[in-house]
Amino acid sequence: MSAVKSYGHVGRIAHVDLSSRKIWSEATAKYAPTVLGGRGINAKILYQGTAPSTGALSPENLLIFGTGPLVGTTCPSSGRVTITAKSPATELYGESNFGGDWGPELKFAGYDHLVIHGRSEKPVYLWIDDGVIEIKDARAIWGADTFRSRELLLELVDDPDAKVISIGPAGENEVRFACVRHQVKHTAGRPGMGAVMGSKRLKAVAVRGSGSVQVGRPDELLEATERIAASIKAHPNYAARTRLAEGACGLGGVADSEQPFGHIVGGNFQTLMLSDYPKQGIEKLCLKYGLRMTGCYNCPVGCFPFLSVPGVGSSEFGCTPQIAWSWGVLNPDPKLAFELSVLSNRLGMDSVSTASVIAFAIDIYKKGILTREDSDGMELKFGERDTLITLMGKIARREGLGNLLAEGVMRAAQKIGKGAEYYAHHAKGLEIASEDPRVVPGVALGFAVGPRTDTTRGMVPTEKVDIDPSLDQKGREEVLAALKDQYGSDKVGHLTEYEGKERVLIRYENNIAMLDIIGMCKFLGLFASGYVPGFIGEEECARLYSCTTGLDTTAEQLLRAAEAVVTLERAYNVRCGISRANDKIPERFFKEPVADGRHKGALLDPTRFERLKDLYYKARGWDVSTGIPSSERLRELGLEDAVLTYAQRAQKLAPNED
Amino acid sequence: MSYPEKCSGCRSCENFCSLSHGKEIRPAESRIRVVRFEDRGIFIPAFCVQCHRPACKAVCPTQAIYEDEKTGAWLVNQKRCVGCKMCVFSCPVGAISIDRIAGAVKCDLCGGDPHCVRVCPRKAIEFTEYDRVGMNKKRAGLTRLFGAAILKEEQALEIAKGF
Repeated sequence: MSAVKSYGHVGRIAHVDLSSRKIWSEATAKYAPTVLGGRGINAKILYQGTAPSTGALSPENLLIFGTGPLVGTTCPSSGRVTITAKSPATELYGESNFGGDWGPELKFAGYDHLVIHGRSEKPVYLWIDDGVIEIKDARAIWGADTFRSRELLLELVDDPDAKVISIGPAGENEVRFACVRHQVKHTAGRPGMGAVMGSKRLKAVAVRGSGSVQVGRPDELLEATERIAASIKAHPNYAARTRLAEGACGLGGVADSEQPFGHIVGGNFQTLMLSDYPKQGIEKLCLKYGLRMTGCYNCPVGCFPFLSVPGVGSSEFGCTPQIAWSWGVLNPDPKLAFELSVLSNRLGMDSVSTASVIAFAIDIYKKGILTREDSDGMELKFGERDTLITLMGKIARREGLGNLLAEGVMRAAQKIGKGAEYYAHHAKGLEIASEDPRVVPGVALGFAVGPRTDTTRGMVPTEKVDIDPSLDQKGREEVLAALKDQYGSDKVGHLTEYEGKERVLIRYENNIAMLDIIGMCKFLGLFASGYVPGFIGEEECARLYSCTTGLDTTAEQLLRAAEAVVTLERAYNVRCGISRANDKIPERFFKEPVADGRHKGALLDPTRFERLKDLYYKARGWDVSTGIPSSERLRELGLEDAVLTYAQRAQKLAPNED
Repeated sequence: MSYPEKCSGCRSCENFCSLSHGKEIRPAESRIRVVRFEDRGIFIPAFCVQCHRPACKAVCPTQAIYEDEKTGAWLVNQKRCVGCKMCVFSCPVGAISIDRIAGAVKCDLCGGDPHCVRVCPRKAIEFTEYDRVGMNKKRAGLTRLFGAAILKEEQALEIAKGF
């Protein structure tokens, strides 16, 4: 064990090789400089530990769970974990983040990170009990859904308070958008981390820890975190996000509240006109069946509406599934949307990708590209319970048509052919859904250039000032003036504008990366801000980081680390063969105007879109013609280790660089 | 006083308790714990309710448990505690436990201004006098019974007439 006392980090990274059943650990400090922790250390381990040719579902891929220096402390919402692996959806850098109690528990058990290597022959689970890691037989729980897995596992380890993450049948069957689930309400979704876990035959990881996280300046931290918790409670957005009440359903009403902006997609981008869907439907459901708003470890906000619907079950109903399972599949029934959300949680599949792959199938079935023979004799219809539930089950079990759809829209469309690719909306293999890039160029850019392809997840809160019905003329002018001060142009507040959007994207990407690195929730940062500053500013994060680690650190230093991590993730993708030419979004968005709704006729302009990319690369310090960060830039950001392995690949792709 | 119906399960109380008493974050030894029923979304903050005739005090063979004159809290004299765990066995709600170093530990009401109460984001724990507990509980229960109606003027009138 390392002799130097570690503050914030508990000091060790655990490695488990499921092929050889070897277990070892190393010092976290080895990785901490430059990238600091969490998502940063994960990216570094992935970069060093996998080759460009490593297949996402091969035993050589690494599955990395990373907490952060602030995780498991009194810092607000410090329960976040980043899961990193090569993504089965994109075969590129993949990362997903979840909250709850698992991350802090891992630290109390003595580990900052957990790295899974290899592949077990038989299904196994890991039991981490205060530093001791055991590989155990999981045949008894293999096949169970994520809710049942947890129940069974708690019995197996004989501790009702152990913290469990597990995969469902979708992960076991390597569905490319399978997620990892924690307890009943937390999900690490999007780029298929559950499929990687399934490919390793790792069903679950249960942790119990009775240890502690030591901090550098306990008295200062106590004072600072108590003050910040109080200031969060006094924040103007606080009430709206924490109560189950009309117009204030936390995330519970987001599907309804986003509707006025007219950029939400219905049924595989065929309509943006969703006024037929009962307004306030989801909110009503949350009010009727909501038990309360629940939260993650040490979170003063608690943004999960926890619903208990008779005959359907109990679970949270977050913002993304609400949108995906109502408008995404043109389903007008909020109760069915909740049922679908619970089912996808049980099966362990990402709601956004599952809903969009199902919408894609129904869409091309209607267009005659997919025949009745392809659909196993089933009539496919939007908004119909039978279609949706049956297809979801088939995808999770990889049966018939489900086996094709389980590959995601990109691969499914390639196999179907007959022009299906035109209707497959994805960026490098990860489904694009919810928000229409034709309406919001900022979203288009985010999908094209982001390391995970959708790092900001879509529209940023200040991007819709021009059409926000909640603002009066005076309020609008004030907000736009403030945005002009910050970004040099008030166009950034206009939904459909291009100007300045690259600066907004970088600002948000860096803010999110910083929070992922230190281990706090992105919904406390800029993302939750609206028109007022977020719940917690970057200066305050730096103060918390300093108190926790005992190292004086400024906000600039944290943001510099965030910049380095985003660039390292980009370098990973470049090493896999990605350059500017791959940073694209489907051609449909440049060809086919929006058919209806308030943004009828909206279309992406290729020249302006490419110009936006130029500006993004330039601001990031990447080569504009290739989109590749130069070796000098990597050195400048302290990523010397990456330079050597990366230089050859980068040079092959970048003849212009000297 | 604890109001489980308000608790979001965030465990801020555990963490702040642990940091303020032990200078580190070790919720396993916190004096307040949140008992969790994850699949039902139910969380119950559990802590010492400062019994009138505490079983822990009665069974303690070394008379290590004494009353804080200022707050009325039952405290543990660590010098006397031998770590026999009789108090742990006897407490009906598991509010006293043994830690690695000090011996028996329990809620000391932070000298009259409990940290957990200050930081709870949902006001799910309350620090109040014995004689207020009953009234507060009645008020909360009746408000729930009549719902939001009691807060609206005209409806409140109808309720008043009803009585």
